[in-house]
Amino acid sequence: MPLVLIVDDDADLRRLVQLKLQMHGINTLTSVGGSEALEVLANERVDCVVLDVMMPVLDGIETCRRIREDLGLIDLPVIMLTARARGGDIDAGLAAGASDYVVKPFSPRELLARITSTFRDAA
Amino acid sequence: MGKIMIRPQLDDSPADREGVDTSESARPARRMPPGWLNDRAAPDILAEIVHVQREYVRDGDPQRMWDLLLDAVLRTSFSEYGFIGEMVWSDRGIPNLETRAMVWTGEGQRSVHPDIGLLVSQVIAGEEPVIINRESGRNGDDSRFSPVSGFLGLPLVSADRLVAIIGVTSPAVPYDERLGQLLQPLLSTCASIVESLQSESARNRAVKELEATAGFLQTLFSTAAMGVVVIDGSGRISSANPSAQRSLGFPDGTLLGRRVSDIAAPAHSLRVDRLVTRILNRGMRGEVNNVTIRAARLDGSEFTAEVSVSQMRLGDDSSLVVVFQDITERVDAQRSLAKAAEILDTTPDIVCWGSIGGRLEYLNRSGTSMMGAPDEIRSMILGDDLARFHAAVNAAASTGAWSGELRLVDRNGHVIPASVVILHSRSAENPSLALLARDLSDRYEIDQLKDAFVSNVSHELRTPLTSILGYLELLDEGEELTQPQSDLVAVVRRNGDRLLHLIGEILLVASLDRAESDRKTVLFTADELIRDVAASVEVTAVSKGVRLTCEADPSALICADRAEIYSALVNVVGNAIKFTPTGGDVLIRAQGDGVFTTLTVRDNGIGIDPSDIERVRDRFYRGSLARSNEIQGTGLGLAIVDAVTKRAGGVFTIDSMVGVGTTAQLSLPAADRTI
Repeated sequence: MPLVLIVDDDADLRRLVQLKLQMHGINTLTSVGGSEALEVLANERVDCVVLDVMMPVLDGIETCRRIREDLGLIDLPVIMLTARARGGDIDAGLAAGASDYVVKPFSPRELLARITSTFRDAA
Repeated sequence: MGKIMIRPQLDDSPADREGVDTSESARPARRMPPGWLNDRAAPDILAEIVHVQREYVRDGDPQRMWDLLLDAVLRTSFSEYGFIGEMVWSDRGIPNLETRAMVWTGEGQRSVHPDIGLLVSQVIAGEEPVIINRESGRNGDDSRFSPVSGFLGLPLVSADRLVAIIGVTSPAVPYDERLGQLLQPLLSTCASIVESLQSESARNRAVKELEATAGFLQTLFSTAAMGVVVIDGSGRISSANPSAQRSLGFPDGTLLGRRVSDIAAPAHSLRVDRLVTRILNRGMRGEVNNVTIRAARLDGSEFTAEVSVSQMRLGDDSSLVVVFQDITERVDAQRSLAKAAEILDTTPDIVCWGSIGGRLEYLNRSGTSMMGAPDEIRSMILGDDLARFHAAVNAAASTGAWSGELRLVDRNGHVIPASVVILHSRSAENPSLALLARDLSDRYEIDQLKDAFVSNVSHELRTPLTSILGYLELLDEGEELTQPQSDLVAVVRRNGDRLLHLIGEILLVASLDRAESDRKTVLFTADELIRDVAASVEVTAVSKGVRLTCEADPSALICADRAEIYSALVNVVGNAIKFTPTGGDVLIRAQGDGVFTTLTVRDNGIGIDPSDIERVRDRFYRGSLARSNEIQGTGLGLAIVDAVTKRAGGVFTIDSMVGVGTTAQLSLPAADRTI
């Protein structure tokens, strides 16, 4: 059973992703912020991270950078959720080591497809 | 040496010569009769003197006198040929001999003998008669010259001044030494006549000059734009030029005899009277320059005059010349200019003008406080914008005015975005360049704040919208919904989609106003673009029953930000489908000419009302047909298309007829044209 970590400061959105993944038999963990996520990842082995860009305290870009650099999780798939389709967010996310990105508002179906494709890549 | 004029021989008829023995005067065989020197010389010479004096008194024509004098000497010296030259002294005191009359040769074209020069210089040096005789036969060798045996040079001296020289030659006989002495009375007479000829011509010259000067002054007096009035010793006007009469409103001649105070305004007449009296009475070298007084016309109306008074003395008479000019217009112009400057100083805009070359002549208070005191208009423009400024000046020169945005630099080096109007005045007297600039810094700042606000709010809206639409999707997939429930969910989802679309358009519009930094200009084919657009709207077209056709010139290229052009074209095509009823057609076509590629979207839908066509591009403006047909929209679509096309350096046009359809065209550059 794959395990996905969902990181978002918005509880409804965390729940939305969680519900969708559980409906398709994927286990989930959730974190409310970047620091919490890093803590989880230090202790748990997950198969994919869904990471919101715009978060207070530690944002998604910085969290992603630390996942790669501080935790050394080079191959862990990280999918960024961004509200900005244009401009710097996507570039910055990819530069920080994100594997893929989805623009808000996204369809849960589309996000699920992106996540499952990372499992295929890993297999 | 003066120039030698070859004149025809004198051919006076013998009857003209009274008291002269003409029988001996037939040339060229004139010889002195034997004993003439002793017996007849004195009476003959006296007869010649009387003759020339009579002729002078009777006629006095200068040229005839010169001829007569020479002829008299030729006869009395028994010479065949000769000349008379007047001594003319140049301004620098150099003597010059100017030939006045000459009798030289009757036989062919023979030249003056070179020895004449020697003779003349001896006469000038000594002011005494000079005789040079030569041995006969010697000059016969040289056929170029007239045969000469003797030369006789005679000075004409009047009042110790050499006035002329007479040179004569004898062809056969040498001259007797006594001849010079004998001829002296005749020479004196000749000299007096020459002198009087000279003084007469000098007098004539002086008179002519005087007449010319008087004529010039008269012309000046009668045509001058300034009024000129002459006041005699009693303080009355003795003369007035037409300009003075005109500006004072006095009919011809009616100014004469009036007191000068009559033409001053009542409030000034006493002062004027006193001034005139003082200058006249004191006899001082009175001069008053450029005094401003109020003058009065005959009808009592007044005007402002600038007056100069100067004294004129003719013998014991003293009179005054008053020169005046109506400066009412000038004063008024100065006043209105001062008023205008006052108004210009209250505006927060920068107002300045200067020469066509751009030298600054005026800068209002706002301008001075922002810009300091630059010498040139161009000094106020940001360096990066100078090329655009010069292009703007050229545009203004051809059309009269230019308006647009330019960046200025203030006295502290801060860049000021400004809305600028450049005016080019081609008035013949005073061509000038004017610049009006409004500081847009505040507006720019507000615009930026607004854009940032709109962008942030729009992004913040996306997160709750993700939940709304996402949970609806889960609900839909759940399969436990009844049909009425499912219908309600569909309404919620449709409005969620609308909200999402609206947010997207607002974001796009906000981004259009911002700097160009996140735009990527690339070259792409129109064919591929319209295929992508058609694919994205296909579902909508099919579900509405509208036929979509694409035609593309495969070689047509577009150079622009592809994402922007894509969303613009999606908007236009989306509109066409939206406003075309079921069964209609929408055509997307791309044509290129290498410079521009034109994307045409044509439909046979409901069209746009003519009263709306000018405004459909305004943000949030929606046409009356769109509203009355309850077709949904934000009113932002065409505003976006217009802005995107303009930014790409293209043109967006809409042509429509109600009930027939609409044709929209985006003309876009086919190659990179940025410099």
